[in-house]
Amino acid sequence: MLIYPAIDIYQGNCVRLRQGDFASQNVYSDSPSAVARSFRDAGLNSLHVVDLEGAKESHIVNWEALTSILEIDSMQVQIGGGIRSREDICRLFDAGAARVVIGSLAVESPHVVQDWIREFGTERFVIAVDVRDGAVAHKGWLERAHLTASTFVDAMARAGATSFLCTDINLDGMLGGPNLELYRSLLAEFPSIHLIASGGVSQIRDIENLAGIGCHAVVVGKALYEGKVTTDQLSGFTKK
Amino acid sequence: MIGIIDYGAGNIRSVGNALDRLGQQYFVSNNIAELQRAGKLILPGVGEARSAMESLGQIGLLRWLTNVTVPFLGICIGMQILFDHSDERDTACLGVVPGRISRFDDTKLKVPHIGWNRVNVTATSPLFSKIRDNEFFYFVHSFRASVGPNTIGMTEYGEAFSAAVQKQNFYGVQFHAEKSGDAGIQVLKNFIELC
Repeated sequence: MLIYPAIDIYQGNCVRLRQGDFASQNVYSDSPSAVARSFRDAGLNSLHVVDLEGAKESHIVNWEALTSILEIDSMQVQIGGGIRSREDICRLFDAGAARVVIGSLAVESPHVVQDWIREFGTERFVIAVDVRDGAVAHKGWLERAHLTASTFVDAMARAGATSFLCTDINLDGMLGGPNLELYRSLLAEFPSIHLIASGGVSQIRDIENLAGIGCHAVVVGKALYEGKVTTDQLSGFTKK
Repeated sequence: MIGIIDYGAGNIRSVGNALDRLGQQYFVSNNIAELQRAGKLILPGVGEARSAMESLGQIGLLRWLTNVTVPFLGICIGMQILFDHSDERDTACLGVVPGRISRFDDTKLKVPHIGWNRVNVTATSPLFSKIRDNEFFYFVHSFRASVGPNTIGMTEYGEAFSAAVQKQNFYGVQFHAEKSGDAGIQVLKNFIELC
């Protein structure tokens, strides 16, 4: 199972939000690249990086912090946060991003994303499925579309997407355990997708459970920053 | 000096970062006259075979590439296009290594193959010097080369496929050596120092 430590960037700092609320944030470091390097040195070579201001502004904002992370060797970094333009995508790939996470745009303009998947390859895209109260949320979580996770995943899988990052926003940053039911039902319906679980991980047991139901990867944020799980425990999972 | 071939689709930055860590001088170019001066060549790769071949064709490198005599390392798509043909959008490739690239069976497997997997070293090659057998490397790919006479490392994903190949001065790795932690760095170091 792949472990993606999360680095959320706001105004150049590494922060964590609760339930996607910008007003409720903890600043963990003023150097996201130092945080990234520490993960790599602990044997965690994959990273999930989100430009939180980008998510708000609908385009990448924190270029300086992102490129400082992408300059670190021997890592695979996936980047999300309001990516809606081909220009942002090319710039991120040129800077060394392994994959981009596409959220709202896939809800609103799936055909644009389908064209990109065809042009750049499905390996380079992760579709964000942000679920709040059972429906797919989009646009920086501030608005909601009336769309179920199942309908959305089905549409994007038909468009060629193979990796889906599914976040239960109600659980994100709450350390209350992941939404296993949601992941189990998606995997039962779409056994061939790579499902990346995100939101709620609070202990190693949660990660074992996610691996047990067939999740391909998990994003670990707050639990890592708050010391509920250690990099040593996580690096043991990566190569299984 | 090492020349990284820039064909517009590649993963140049990550390879450059890894070479920086090794303290190696390199340059990035799509110009034959410049690339001819390189003592070693790296063809990085992400994306898909057809666009890679088209880009290399547009910058006029196709024929030259098949005849280079310096050590050459293709990574991911950079390895796949060394073969005769890829089923990915039915693409004729460089034909340096005999064989055909085909897609994993997605009725039985999750495709792409993404993540860490073991490489079983199957032939003695300087590329795998100091690499333990069954070491983990990082893979991201939907198409693969089956195991053949030029295979020097193989990996299991539903079936055995070529994780690394060598033919004379041409080396290819399916895994992303530049993103595979210390073992990947060692492979790049081996290519630079031993191949």
